[in-house]
Amino acid sequence: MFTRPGRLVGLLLVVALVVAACSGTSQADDPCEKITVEDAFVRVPPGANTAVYATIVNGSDTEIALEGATSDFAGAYELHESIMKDDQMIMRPVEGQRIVIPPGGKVALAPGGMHVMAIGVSEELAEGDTVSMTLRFSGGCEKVVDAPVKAIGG
Amino acid sequence: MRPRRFLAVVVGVALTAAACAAPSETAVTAVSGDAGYAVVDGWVGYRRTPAPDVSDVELLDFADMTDGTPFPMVAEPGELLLVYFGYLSCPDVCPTTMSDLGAALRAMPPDEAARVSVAMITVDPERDQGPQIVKYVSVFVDRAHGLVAPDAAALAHAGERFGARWEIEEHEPSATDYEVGHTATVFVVDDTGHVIWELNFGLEPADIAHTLEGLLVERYG
Repeated sequence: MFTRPGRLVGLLLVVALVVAACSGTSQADDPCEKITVEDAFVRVPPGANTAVYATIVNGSDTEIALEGATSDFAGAYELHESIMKDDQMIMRPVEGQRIVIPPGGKVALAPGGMHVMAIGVSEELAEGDTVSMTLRFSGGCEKVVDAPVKAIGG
Repeated sequence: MRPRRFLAVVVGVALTAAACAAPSETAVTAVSGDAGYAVVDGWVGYRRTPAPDVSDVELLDFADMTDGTPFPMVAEPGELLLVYFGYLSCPDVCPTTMSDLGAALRAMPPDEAARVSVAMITVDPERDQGPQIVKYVSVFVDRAHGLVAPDAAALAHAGERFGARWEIEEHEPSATDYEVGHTATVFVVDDTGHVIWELNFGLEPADIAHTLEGLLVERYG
């Protein structure tokens, strides 16, 4: 490598360009600042799994996507949706594990549709409890959400 | 439009299609006609005609948290029994159904709500225990039954009598993370053991309450 200073200079130039590009992006409105999560709640767990619901509002002019979640109260999370197939209700993972929220739009994760499935939760969670979780969005954006545990409603 | 509303329409169409096993044009006629399913103005759900007789279906109830008590599919005299085929590893649709039924019963006059009980039959006896089912349904309603079939034949018989179907994803014997598809309908059974009404998934609790009140009056005066 020492014998080829031209290569090194070229590499440094590329790095510098990338850094410049990134800082240019961050100077624009950060979409992460304009994501709001409303009406989040967790259903009282029937067993080891339960569902998290919320309405996600994207107030930015950039498309964003919900890509997952983390928390202490569940072992793992998957983005799921309930659909009718033939005459049966089935649940399937959301394609690509991404729920896209368009610029200026909102998406409701609501009972009987899309939801964040929490896997491996404590079955002792009861009405009146609150759980804290972090929703992960595209671009490395994270939102901490405190969600009440509810039996009736939604 | 909330997802559940959309699903309700889809469920209705699917039920109708299943009922007459005919092209969808005919199925639409069946919703407002008499070919197996009928609607009543102001009520939600469907009337099955003729009403299926499920009185010979007998499963084990764990409501008293013992080893299971034989439970025939017949409501107490002058009452309605709401029957649902579900499973406890169901994080979305089953709890939503129970939540909606609970909200509906709370919306009814207490003396009428007291004449309605709710039974959940597990279609996944490999993972579900009777007492767990009772405990869970009790989160939502006062008069809860958790039903387990004594064997696979009894469960299949129940599904056939009610017209409920389910599908368990193939899995290794020790696996616990398999998927289950199932009919998400609530069957309304009277005190002679007949399914007099069906509530499809995604109905509003207030509408369910109104329909159950109407069914109590229509059936028992």
